Amino acid sequence: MQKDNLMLKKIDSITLLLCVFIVFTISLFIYLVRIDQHIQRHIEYHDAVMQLRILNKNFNNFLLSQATFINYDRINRSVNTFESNLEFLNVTYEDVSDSKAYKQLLKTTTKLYEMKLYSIEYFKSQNSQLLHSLHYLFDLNMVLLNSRKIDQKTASIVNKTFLYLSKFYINSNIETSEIKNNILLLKEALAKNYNVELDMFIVHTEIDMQHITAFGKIKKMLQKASLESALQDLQKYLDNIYNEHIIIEKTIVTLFFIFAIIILSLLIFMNRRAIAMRDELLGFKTAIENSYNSIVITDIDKKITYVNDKVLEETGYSREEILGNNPNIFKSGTSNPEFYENMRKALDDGDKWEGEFINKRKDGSLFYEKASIIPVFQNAKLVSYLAIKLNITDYIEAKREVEYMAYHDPLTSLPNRSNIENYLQNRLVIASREQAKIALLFIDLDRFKNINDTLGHDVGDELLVEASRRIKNTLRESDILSRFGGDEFVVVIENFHENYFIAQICQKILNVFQNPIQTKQHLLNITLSIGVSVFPDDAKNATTLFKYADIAMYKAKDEGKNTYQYYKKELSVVAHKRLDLEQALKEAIGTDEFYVMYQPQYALQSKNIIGLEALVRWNSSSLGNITPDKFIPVCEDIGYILELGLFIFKQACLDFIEFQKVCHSLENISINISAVQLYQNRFIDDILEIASETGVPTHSIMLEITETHIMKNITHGMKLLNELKESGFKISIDDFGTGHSSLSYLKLFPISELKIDKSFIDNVPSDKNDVAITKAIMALSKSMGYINVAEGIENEIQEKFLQENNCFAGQGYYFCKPKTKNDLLNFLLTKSR
Amino acid sequence: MRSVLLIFIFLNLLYAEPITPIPQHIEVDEAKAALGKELFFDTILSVDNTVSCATCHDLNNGGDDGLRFSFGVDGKEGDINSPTVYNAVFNFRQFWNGRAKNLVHQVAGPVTNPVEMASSFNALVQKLKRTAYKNKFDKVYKDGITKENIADAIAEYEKTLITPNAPFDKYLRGDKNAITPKQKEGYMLFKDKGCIACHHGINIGGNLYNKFGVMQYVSSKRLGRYEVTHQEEDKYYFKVPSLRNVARTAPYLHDGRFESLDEVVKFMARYQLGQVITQGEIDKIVAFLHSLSGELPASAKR
Repeated sequence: MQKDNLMLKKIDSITLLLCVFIVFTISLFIYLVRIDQHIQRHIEYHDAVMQLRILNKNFNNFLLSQATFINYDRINRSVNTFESNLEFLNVTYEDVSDSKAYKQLLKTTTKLYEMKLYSIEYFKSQNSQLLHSLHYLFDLNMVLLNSRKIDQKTASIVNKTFLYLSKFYINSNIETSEIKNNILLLKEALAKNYNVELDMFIVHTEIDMQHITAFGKIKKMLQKASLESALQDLQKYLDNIYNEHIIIEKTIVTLFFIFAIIILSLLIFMNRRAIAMRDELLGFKTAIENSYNSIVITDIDKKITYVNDKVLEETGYSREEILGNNPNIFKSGTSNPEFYENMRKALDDGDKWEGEFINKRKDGSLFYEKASIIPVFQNAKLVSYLAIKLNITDYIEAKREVEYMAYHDPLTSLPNRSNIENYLQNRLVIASREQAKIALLFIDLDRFKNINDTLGHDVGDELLVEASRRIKNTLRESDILSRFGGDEFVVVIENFHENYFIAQICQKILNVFQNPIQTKQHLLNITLSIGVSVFPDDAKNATTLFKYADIAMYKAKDEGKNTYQYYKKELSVVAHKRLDLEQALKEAIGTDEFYVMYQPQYALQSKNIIGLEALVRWNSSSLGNITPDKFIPVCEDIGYILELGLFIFKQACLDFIEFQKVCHSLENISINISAVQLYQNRFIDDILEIASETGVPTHSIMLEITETHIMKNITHGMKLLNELKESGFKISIDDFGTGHSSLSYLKLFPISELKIDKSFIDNVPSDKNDVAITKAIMALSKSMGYINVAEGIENEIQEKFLQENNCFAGQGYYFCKPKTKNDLLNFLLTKSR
Repeated sequence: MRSVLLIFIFLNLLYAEPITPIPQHIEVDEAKAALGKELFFDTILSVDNTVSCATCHDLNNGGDDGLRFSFGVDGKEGDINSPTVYNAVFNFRQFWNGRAKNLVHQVAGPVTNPVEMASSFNALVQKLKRTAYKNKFDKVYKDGITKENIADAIAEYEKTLITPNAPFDKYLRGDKNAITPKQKEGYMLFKDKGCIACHHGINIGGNLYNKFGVMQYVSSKRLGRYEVTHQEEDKYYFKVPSLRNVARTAPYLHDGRFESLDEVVKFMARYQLGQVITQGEIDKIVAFLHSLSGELPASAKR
């Protein structure tokens, strides 16, 4: 990846260099074009100056061609050309336009030219005048030579003078003094003898002399001011400037060239490096493509941009299905969100991430991958993510297998000894925190050693497998069965409250072995011995629990096998008793072992019997008479209370009709209702049905409910009581004063009667506390409008105390013990008689 | 020595043909010339819209106005004779004192002269911009109406005002019968007397300055070249005028002092050449001068 980075960088710099090179070449070209323009322009200026010099030579020649006829159009054209060239030089010549020297040179040139032009114009005028004058003098000379009007001598002077003047044509020096002398002589002659031609001759000669002087002046001016040297200076100056420029330009072009060569060399060098790197990268690419690892590259948005063939092979997807997608298409959802969150966090921080994925193939099957994901940076900018993954499914599965083997018994696949020891230890920590109970069952197959020794290990193994299966089926899901070693099994049981629950389980386990076990060849009767230890009752740590369970198991063996024993003897006894009771109850259901007895309730003042409390009795065929306080809780536990409750209710109602016939003061039949019954959905419907069936009006039925039962769930309890009240039933609170009733709640309940518990009545009037409580209850009842029934009146003193304190009614041995139906009928008949 | 000298002079004067004919036409920018023509005839150039170029340069009347001095705006009279506009392009300088280098420079003179058009170019440019000239100039010149462009357009038009095919030009081109024998004799005299020394070239004059009154002092209000150079020796030096169409451009000389060619030829012989001339010679020279009238160009017609 580092290489790749470099490669990208290289490409960039090559492009950059190439651009620079192109710019350079274009610049060079433009510069060369500019140089060419320079040269062209210089040539133009050079030519212009050259032409000026030629024209100046023409001017000079012209100015020396006095007394010659010249068509001035020609010289005028030269003047125009000169001026336009001068103007051309005056317009901006960019290389030199700023130069003061150049401007000065031009200024000098222009000034000298203006002087020259002035000379030319002057020359033109003078020359024209001289020309026609000389021509006329020639004519006059001819006329005068042949004239007879002047003397010979004068004629000779005229001729001589003309010849002197004529020398001027051929640029010879003329003798001006001679001419002047001659003019004086001629003037004398003219004065003697006037002649028009001679006069004209003199005038023209004099004027011509003036012209000749003028030409002399022009010549002097020519010598004085040299336009030629000014032009040469100008030319030299331009040439110098040009040469300087050319040298600079040549240098710059050479530098340009050298730079271009350097850039080109750099480019070639870089290109070679790039090619080398490309070859190297091709090697890398091949390595990646054929890697045993899955390689995935994503862009910064985590869209997959590359996968190698291994990825396709591992996942079963085609490349088209993968590219452009987020890698979460492989996600199995097995790992928790936190796992991905951690990965995302690490990658966002720019860190490398390593971990194991549980991914999903296209066909939905899972596989494990060990992955490292690397954020790829270029110039400190995140550009992609690279994931290198190795399929470790085989390794994971093998590891699991080993782990499983380490913690499980290979024969039964149950957790092995070390496993269950660990498990128990862990559970104990939790249980002690939650104050929960845990029971440990130690199960040993009786006589297994004999079977193993006599029938062989195969049969033993078969037996063990079947035994474990049977035990397991007996248990709840949350209970853990383990093969502890040999023919020993251990069960860890949680989620129970009463110890006898364990006894039930033990009994169930023992029961499932009542049927013999069929192996391949043998039908084997097998029994178990079970030892139980309970946390926290017996011990607080695992080792001790195991030890005690083991001890209990041997106790069971000592008890004659096929039984279970608690580590503590009393627990065993209670458990066994309770189990016996349950067993007897189950057998008693549907038989006539249950019957109802009635105890009269009488008004303390009138001694009239006003009500009866129905009391259930159990005469067990196996256990003898059992008191309700023993068997009712068991009934409630095993659910038999519903059936039993309805039986009592119906029996009481039926009997009540008969009792009423012999005792007319009888108003109510009081029936005890268990909380289990009360909170059962169909309860009201059931008792209403029985009431209407038996013909007992509901207002004659007093439902006795223990105070504590209602207080367990006040809102629900109140609702139920209100429903019962609406149906016409009367409610009596039983054992009032033993619970922790809140009086404020109590007043909300639709109650008709409060029963004062026997425990208070027992000690009145001797115990002051109980007297105070009893009095308080009666005062409270009075203020709330309840009637009171005192329970357990056993002597006259008690009855008298209650009478004195205006307790409404009472019941107890003193008045009448609970009686069977027939006995009570007799009692009532006796009373009424 | 003497004979050599004489031959030299004669060759010089007689055999080198000192006058060249006018070309049939010269190259001009037609669009500019058309615009120039419009301006040439438009009185908008003058401050009060009364005077155009054509007012003083009547193209049907020899290219001048036949007056001694011309009248400008408000009837103001100038102090110099209007020269003809015909063939002015061939003059080496413009104006009698040669103060304008060429036609373009010349145009500014009359436009701003207080006794001629009396305009200012700034005002004129603004004035023209409010007229149809705006578009016309914009079509021809990138920078639209400017002083330079006004002058350039008029000058371009004036280039078309040449008069080729004068009988004498035809004679020069080889038509020996284009001029009469008298005119031929006149031409010989023209050369012989030395007129040719100043009046030669394409415009038969118009290519040098010379002194007004070479042989003798002649009074003149205007000082000629001196007005430009302020050099003492330039006093009374005027541009030698062209003799083309001279028969049509009376009155003559810079102050229009002569109405007839007879008079001016006689004046020239005496003051400029200092020669005695007979009436017969004058007649012949005048006859020759008549052969210098050329054909008016098509562009001269409005």
